[in-house]
Amino acid sequence: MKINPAEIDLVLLSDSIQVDHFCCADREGSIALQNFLTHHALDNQKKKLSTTWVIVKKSDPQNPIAYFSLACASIDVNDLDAVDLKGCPTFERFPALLIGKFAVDDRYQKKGLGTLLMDYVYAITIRLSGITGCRYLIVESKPTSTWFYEDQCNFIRVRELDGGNVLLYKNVLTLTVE
Amino acid sequence: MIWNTHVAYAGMNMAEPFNTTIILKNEDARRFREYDNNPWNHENDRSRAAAKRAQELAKAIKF
Repeated sequence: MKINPAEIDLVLLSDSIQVDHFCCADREGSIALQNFLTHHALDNQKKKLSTTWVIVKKSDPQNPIAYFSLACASIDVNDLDAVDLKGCPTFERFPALLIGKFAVDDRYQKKGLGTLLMDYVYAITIRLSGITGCRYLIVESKPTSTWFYEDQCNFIRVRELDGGNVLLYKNVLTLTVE
Repeated sequence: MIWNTHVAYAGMNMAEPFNTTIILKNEDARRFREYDNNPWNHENDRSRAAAKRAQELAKAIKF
């Protein structure tokens, strides 16, 4: 059964959120996304390295069922000679927002939470882009998760990175202009 | 006292910051320019609906 959006809240991670019970393993059995939330997310947030937003049920507001972490980033276009598009501005640098982590608790998979979570990423991006320059949304995805970003969210695949993750991006204008 | 502070930091269980600089060259740069010239070409009904939902959610987010 799908999660009803009216039954959940998005909150910024804080000391009052109980992260210890969050459970998330990928298809290869890695629990890196679980470990980040349980061991590093709050520490990184206090050091201003990233912020982590969690989805909680209104009936259980201390226990996260999904989360994402964000950080400021930039896209540097270091090869303008490769470009031959008349009328296209040739900026070398674009401000961006990086989705550093994006995870749904294993017990809440296949309930539409990934889509809801991305709606909230977009919502924060929309708000942020009204406060500061933010032209692109970037994500480094596990190869097994790229279908979600490409097929469900219309991110553009750039390339596979060293280590196997896949770099994807999306222009924020597509979120803010009808 | 300074020494103790240093030791405390060295022992902290700290995650690596995310890789926040994306460098595009050659074919990556060419495709980036093509996309950036008209990103709406890649949108569809699903993604446009998501953007609408996000615009509504954005009004209520507090930060």
